[in-house]
Amino acid sequence: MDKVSLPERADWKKTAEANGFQFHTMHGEPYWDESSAYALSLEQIENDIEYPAGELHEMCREAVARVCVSEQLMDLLAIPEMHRDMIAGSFHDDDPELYGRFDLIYDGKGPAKMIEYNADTPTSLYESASFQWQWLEDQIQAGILPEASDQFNSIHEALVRRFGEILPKGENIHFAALGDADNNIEDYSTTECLGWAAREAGCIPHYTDLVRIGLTPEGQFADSEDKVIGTLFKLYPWEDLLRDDFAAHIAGSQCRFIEPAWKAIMSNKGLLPVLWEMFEGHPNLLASFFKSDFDALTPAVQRSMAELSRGYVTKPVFSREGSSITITENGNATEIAQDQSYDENPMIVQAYREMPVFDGFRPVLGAWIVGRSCVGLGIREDRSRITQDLSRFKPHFIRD
Amino acid sequence: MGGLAGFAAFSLVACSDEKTAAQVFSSNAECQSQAREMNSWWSPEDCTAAFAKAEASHREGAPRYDDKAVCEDQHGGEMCEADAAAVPAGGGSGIFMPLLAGYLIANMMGKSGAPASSPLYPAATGGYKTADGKTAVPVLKGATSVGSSAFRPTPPTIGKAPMTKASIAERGGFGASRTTSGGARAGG
Repeated sequence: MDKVSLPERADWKKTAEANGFQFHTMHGEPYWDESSAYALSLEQIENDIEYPAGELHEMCREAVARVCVSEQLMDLLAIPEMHRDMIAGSFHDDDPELYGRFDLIYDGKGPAKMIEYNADTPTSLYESASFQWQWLEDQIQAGILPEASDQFNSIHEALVRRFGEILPKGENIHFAALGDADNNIEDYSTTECLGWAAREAGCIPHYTDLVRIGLTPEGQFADSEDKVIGTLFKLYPWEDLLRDDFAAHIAGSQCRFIEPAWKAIMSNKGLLPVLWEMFEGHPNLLASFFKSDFDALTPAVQRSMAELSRGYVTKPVFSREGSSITITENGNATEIAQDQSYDENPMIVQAYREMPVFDGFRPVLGAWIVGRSCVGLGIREDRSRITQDLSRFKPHFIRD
Repeated sequence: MGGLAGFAAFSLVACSDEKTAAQVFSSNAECQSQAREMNSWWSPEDCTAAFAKAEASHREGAPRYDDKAVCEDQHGGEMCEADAAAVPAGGGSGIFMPLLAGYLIANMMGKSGAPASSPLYPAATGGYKTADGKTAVPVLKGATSVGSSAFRPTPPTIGKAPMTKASIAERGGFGASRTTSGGARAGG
């Protein structure tokens, strides 16, 4: 794995804007950055990303099954008691999952290490699935990249196929996020990218602002135009849905949720210690513990002491975009996320793995899961050791 | 592998939608009589083929509602009929669809054979709309310019659960983001 400098396409900003990808630059900093790209071998993609991420997803499913039957684990994951039956039921009924993104640390050599699994509300979908692919095609056509170059990216096709498996043709599906294209373009663009795939699969996509959703006297949800919602894709995390005023109506709403309710467990960072307990020493996992076990110095914590004493990360069971994360090395907090908006939630501790540095930036590899397979890669990098929402998206290609 | 998916999943009248010259008719006969005029690009045979195609997509993909009042809300008074395909043996139907009011035809560039066509439905707010409601024309005659997406096949609605309109008891019960203390985004 290398980072190589490449000439930028002369007109990429115009192309981006024509396609609604207006957030290529945010807060005056580039977000989409094609002045360089990551080059990986096919072997690295297949053996170190694709197969391990597929295996990790299956391990996560096993861990969800375990949490479903344990009140104690449900407590540790802060799952509200009144919703536990619904969540376990959705897993037992095999309500289908749509997509997710593993965030991995990888330097091209040793095994990729899973930092976390954004299994509920992953974004950066458009730039991963679509704009990145356009970049590859353009650069091959311009002779910048060799004809034989490829990219690990069948995200869009896999989504079309997956929608076709989940929903009958002609079915209405509502997509909801906070706000709309004018005030929350990043989330909106991910839902729009999914809406496009749903349409290609023969479904009828609609958009509604999440806060405009209403409740009918019969207890069903309805969109901003008062149409009943039969299937709802929500780019809004389950842990928040379960604490909203309408939460009590979810179970009786006859609404199919995508992602399904059991993603409240799979996307919870409390799953990391459960995984470690079930698969201790797995090459793609970092030692992880509930804060209470860590503080109690349980035998499992002691077994990982060599690793933990080099450094560990403390993070809440709920959080996104690196919020409320602290890195502790040799007993000192060496990095504290500026955004502490999740710090009132239960915490976990994860062994810290130093990230590789390429040209001053630290990449995090996003391995996209659709259904139960790993189908693509999107890389974001940051100067800081905590990848936050000011990170840059970098295209990648496969050279062989 | 994914091409540029484009950004028009929900709003098909986006600026990237290529404009096409189209003709609007209220009936096959109208189309036929104008086809005989000078300089028309369509033939009487085109009219018959296009009208047959529009009727077929009307049967397959017209908007369907579970209630006449809901249908009339969208399409205007006396503009809806029971779905013949859904009438059970005992008579009566719980499914309603708007009347086929007219149709759009276009000579799509680079396409051979019959012109593209699309059914048009009355809109309660005035004018006429395609099945997905995303393309509108003010009157059922004359030349117009529409996005080429107006001719995209709509997913079938026949035999599917119809759209229902709900009376709303309460709104705004989602979106409080209670596990975080700030921020307008939910994804990550």
